[in-house]
Amino acid sequence: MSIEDKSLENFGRQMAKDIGAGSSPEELKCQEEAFVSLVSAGMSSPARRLAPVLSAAAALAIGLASLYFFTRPDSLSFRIGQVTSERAENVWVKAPTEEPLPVYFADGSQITLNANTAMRVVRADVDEVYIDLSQGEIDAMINSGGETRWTMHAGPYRMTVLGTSFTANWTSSEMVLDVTVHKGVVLVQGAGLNDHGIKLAAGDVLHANGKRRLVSLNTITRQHDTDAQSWSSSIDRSAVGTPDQDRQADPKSELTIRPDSRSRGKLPSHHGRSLRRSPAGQPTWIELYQQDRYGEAIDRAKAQGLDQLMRTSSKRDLWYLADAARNAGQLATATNILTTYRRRFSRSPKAHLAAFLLGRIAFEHRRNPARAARWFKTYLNEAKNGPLAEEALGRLMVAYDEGGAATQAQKTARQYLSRHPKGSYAKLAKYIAGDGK
Amino acid sequence: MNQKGVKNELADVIDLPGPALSNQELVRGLIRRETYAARQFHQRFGARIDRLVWRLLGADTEHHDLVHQVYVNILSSIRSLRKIESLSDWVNSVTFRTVRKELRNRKVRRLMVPSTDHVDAAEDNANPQKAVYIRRFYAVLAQLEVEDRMIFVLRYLEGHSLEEVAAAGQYSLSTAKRRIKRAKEEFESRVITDPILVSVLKSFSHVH
Repeated sequence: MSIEDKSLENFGRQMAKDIGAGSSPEELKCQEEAFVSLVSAGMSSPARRLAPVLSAAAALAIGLASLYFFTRPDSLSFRIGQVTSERAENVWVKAPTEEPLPVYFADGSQITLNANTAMRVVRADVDEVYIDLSQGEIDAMINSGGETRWTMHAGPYRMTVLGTSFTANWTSSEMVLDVTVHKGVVLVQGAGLNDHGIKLAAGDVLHANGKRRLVSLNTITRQHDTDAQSWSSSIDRSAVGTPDQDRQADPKSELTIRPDSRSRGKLPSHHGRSLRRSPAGQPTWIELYQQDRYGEAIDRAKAQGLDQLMRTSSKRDLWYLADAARNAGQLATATNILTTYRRRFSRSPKAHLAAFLLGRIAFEHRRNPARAARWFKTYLNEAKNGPLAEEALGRLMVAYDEGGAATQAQKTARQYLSRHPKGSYAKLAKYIAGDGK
Repeated sequence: MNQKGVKNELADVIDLPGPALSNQELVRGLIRRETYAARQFHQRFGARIDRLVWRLLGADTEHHDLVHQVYVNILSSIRSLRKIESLSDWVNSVTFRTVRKELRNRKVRRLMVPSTDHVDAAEDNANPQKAVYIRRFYAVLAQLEVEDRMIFVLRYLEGHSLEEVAAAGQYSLSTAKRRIKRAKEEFESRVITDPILVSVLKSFSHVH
């Protein structure tokens, strides 16, 4: 048979049309978040995310046959199950259906893959461990030595931990991540969460749906946990619009047992307070905000009178309003609200966060490094040891560099390195300070 | 800061997504781990990368993982990009090579572990006939050598020109031409065994 090129092209076009163009807009958005997460994490090592979903035995058979064994002085050795392979980086393993599969690390940490869970250790160094969770549930007990930064990727989500104990369940087909923290703190970033992510403390249960971009946060119990107590003072929950103050204002939110967090699908904000509906019976801006309808929320707020809202709203509501504007991409409005928030509630811890956010808007969206630098400096002046101090210092350095202020950039880089020698901007700081290669 | 000051401060703030970055700015931004660059890069290339992976592999349980891997490969090799003006071709090339590696790995993997997690092309409940065509089409593609399969998809499904195929596969023009010819012949020799696909092809009327 010989087919004319033109016919084959027509056939191919028809076939391409039938096959479709790929992922849905929601899935593309998830991919975007995953990519942004990769970029911001500076993940340049070859982190293969493909999940062959091998059985543990098969994976190890392949691993033992073809593994790239090497020993670096800073490597963190680990073994999978009872097989004492020295290193098995980048090999996907899957726990059998009948029993869990433990992965033991030399520092005493242990990650247990529950039945049918597939995961791999991308890289394991004493200062940094990267793990990819392809599917299923892991129980992680990370040694609290504090030396190693652990990052676990699950689809568009990234979990960063130091010493902690938690369970993470990732359903890749639904793009659903459930995280339950038993001890310590876990920072979760990615789709549906703002760029800062959300820090979970002991007892917190996060349910995040990447496709629907829904996030729910519940507290099942507050365990006595020294780590969590010391960390939680610096927790920033603003990423999902659940300010600390709200939770503290309502002690029930700390104590209430909510066994079925998954069914809720929404943030437990407002604590059941009856919300006033608009005269026309339409939902208020705050109700729209709670439904993640940020654009509509801002439109409703503007119709109601944004200036008046900014003057009269409570601290919490004004923060929500800023959050809605930011999520709706209305950055001028967000800037306006955040600036007002700082003026009206200057003593609130969120006022410092507002400065940081204003810096980010100036830098990332308005490409105005000078103004961004001013806001990052403001944040650092006001919250030198705040939860975003490292990030603010790193961004300040970049803003100076981008703005052509080489001397200040170098000075800030050296300052950053002295304070955060293993921080996420450390490599860049070395480069800017002139110590890099 | 008083209200007037705030207004002055905001006088030049407008709701725009930000200026389109040049290729050079985009690459530099990615190297510097800037999220705005990541977002613009995705807006410019994300849908294309996704579509290319989708069509090269067919609907696949590992689709999102593979797209993710393309991004990982882009980030890990972007410093080696020499021709900034050819960023678009380079992205195609990274995607092509990532999928090619995966397809080759699958062949090896199947020797050791029977594959059970791969699904055929997208099911369309509203049009099951279409789903049959697509399944059979990918079954034919699966019989081809990896390189032939990919070139066939690029040329005939994606409608890539000779030059674009050459850039994606990093071939010379003459090699690309030869490989397209071989891919076409290989496809023809196998599709002939599938009467349903032959009937579809005949509907395009130029089969001899």
